Amino acid sequence: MTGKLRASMTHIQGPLSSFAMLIVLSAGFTLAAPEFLTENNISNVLRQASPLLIASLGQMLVILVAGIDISTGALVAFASVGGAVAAVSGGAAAGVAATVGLAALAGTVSGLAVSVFQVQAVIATIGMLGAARGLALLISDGQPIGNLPPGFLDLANSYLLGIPAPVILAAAVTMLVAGWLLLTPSGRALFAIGGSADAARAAGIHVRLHRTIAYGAAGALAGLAAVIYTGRAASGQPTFGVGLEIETIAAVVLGGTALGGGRATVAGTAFGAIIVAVLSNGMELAGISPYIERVVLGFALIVIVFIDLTRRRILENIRNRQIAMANR
Amino acid sequence: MHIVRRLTMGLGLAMALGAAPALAQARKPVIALSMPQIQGVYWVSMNYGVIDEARARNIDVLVANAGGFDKVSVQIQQIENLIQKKPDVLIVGATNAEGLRGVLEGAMAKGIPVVGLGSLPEPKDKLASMIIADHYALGKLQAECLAKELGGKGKIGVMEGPPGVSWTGDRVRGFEETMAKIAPDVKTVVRKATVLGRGEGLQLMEDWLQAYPDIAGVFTAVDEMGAGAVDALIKVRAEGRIKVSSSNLSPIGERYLRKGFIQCESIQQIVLQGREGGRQAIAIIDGKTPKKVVATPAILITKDNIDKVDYTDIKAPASYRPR
Repeated sequence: MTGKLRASMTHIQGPLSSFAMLIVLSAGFTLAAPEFLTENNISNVLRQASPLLIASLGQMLVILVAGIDISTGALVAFASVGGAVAAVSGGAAAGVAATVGLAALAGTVSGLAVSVFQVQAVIATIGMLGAARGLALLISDGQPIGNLPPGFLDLANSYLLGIPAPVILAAAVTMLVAGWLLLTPSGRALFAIGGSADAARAAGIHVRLHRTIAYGAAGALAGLAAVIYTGRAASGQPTFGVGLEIETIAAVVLGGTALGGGRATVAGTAFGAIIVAVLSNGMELAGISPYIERVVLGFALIVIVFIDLTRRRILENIRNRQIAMANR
Repeated sequence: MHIVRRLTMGLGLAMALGAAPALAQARKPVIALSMPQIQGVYWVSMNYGVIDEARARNIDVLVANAGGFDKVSVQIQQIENLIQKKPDVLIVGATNAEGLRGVLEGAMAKGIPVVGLGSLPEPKDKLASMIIADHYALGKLQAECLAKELGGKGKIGVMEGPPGVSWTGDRVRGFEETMAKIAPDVKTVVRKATVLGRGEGLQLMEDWLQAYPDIAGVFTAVDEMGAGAVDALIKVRAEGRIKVSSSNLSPIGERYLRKGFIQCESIQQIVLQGREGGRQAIAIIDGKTPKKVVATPAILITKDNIDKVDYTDIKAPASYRPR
C-alpha cells in the first residue's frame, strides 16, 4: 500500500466506521419502532440533527487545533437572546447577523485567551461559558424573548423542495467547512497546528492567528446553530444549550476526529451528529422509559467511543507491524 | 417532496437491515405525555395521575421527559418524536410556554389535540383542555401562613425559582401580593432567582444569614430549596426560630415540617390534576368534548393538620416509580 493510499484510507475510515454505526443503530431502531424508518421521521431526525451538526463542526475545528470548547451551549444561549433582541428591533437580517456575530465575537475572545494569553483551552472556555450564560440571563432578564419577525423563524421552520431549511443550511455549512479545510492553505494549517504547533510554526504558519480563527469560526457556527434553535422555539431563550457541548464533543469523537488534535473528518462529524440525534429519536420512538433512555444514551456514547477507539488502536498496531516488517 | 422521497429510499436501501414496513392493524388508543421533568413529588405525582387514569381504560401512554426546565430545545425534539407515533392526544407540561408554540402548532395542524398540564404551553387559546395548577394560590397560602407565624412583621427573604419559569413566578407573585395586602410590615429585604435545588437553598441561606442577621423568615418556591435553607439554619441553630414557608410537601419537606423546621407547606392536589389530564384526553379519544379548564384548589399543610389530610389525590404512593 503506498503512503498516499494509506493516508487516504486513514482519512475515510472515521466516516466509514461512524456510518456503519449509524446503519446498525438505525436497523435496530427500525426493528424496535416501525415509525423510525419513515419519510417523515427521517426528515424529522435530519432536522433535529442540523443545529447539532453545525455546532459540532465548530467543535471539530477547535479540537483539530488541539483545543476544546466547553462554552458551545452557553454561546448558543447568549447568541440566541442577543440575536432575538436585535431581530425584534432591527428585523430578521439584523437578528441573524447579531446571532452569528455575537457568538463569533465570544469565540474569538476565547481564541485570543488560548492563543495569545496561553490560557488552557478548558479554562478559557469554562470562563466563557460562565460569562456567556450570565450575559444571556442579563440581556433577557431571565425571560424568553418572543415576537420574532417571520423571516427569522423561516430559517428554522421552512422547507425548500420538501427538504427542511435547517437541513439545507447544515449541508451547505458542512461543504463549506470541508472545502475550507481541504482546499485552502489556512484550512490545512489547522491540521498542521493540531499535529504539532512547533513544527507548524517552524514551517511559517502563524499559529496564534490560526488558533484564534478556529475558535472564532467555532463561535460563528455556534451562532448559526443558535439561529435554528431560536427559530424552532420562536423565541430567544437564555436556557438554551445546556449540555450541548457534551453532545458536540460526542459527535466529533464518534466521527473519528482525534481529541489530541491534528486529525479531523468533516463527514465523520456529520455522521456523528446524526448518530446522537438518532439515539435520542430512536429510543423515544421505541417507547423506552424516560429514565432508562437517559442512562442508555449516556452509556451508548461511552461504549461506542470505546469500541471505536479500540478498533483504531488495533488497526494502528496492525499498521505499525506491517511497517516494521517492511523495514526489516 | 420527490427529493426527500428519494433520499428516504436511498437511506432505506443503504440500511440493508431495514425492517419491513409496519403491517396495518387496528391500534389501541395512545396518549403521548411530554413532561418538563419527572423528578420531585410534583411531576412524579402528575405522571402517576395520568398513567393510572389511562391504565384503568387500557390506554397506552408514551412518556417523554425533557429532563429539566432549562431543556426547552430537548422538549421540542421529544414532541417532534412523539408526533411520529401519531398519538390520539398529546398532553404537555411545558418547560417554557412560548418556546413550545411552534412545535405544538405543528402538532395541532396534524390533527393532534393538545392538553396543557400544570405548566401550560402556548398557544393556550388553541389547547383542547387546560389542567391548571394554581401556583398563585400556593404563594398566597404561604403568605397567609408565614404572616401568621411572624406575627405580622419582620424581614424576609424570597427564594424564587429559575429565571424564565412562569410557575415559580406565579408562586412568588401570589406570595408577595398577598403579603403586601395582609401584612404590610413584613418586608422583603432580599430575593434571588436560582435553580430549585437543596444545595442552592443551603448556599443562599448561608449567605443571607451573613448579610441579614435579623432576617425572620424565608419564602421558598419549592421545599427541596426550603430544605436547603433549613440545613443552613440548623448549622447556626436557628431552625424553628427563623420561619420557613414552602410548597410541594416532598419527603424532605414533610420530615422538616413534622420537626417544626418548616412552618408552612402549600400543596396542590397533584394526582388529581394528573388524573384530570388523563380524563380530558380520554374524553377526546371517546369523541366527547373535554372541559376547557380544570382547576383544583390548593391546600395548606402545617404541623397541626399534616396527619388529618387525605393524600390520595395529592401525591403519588411512596412506592411509585415512573417507568
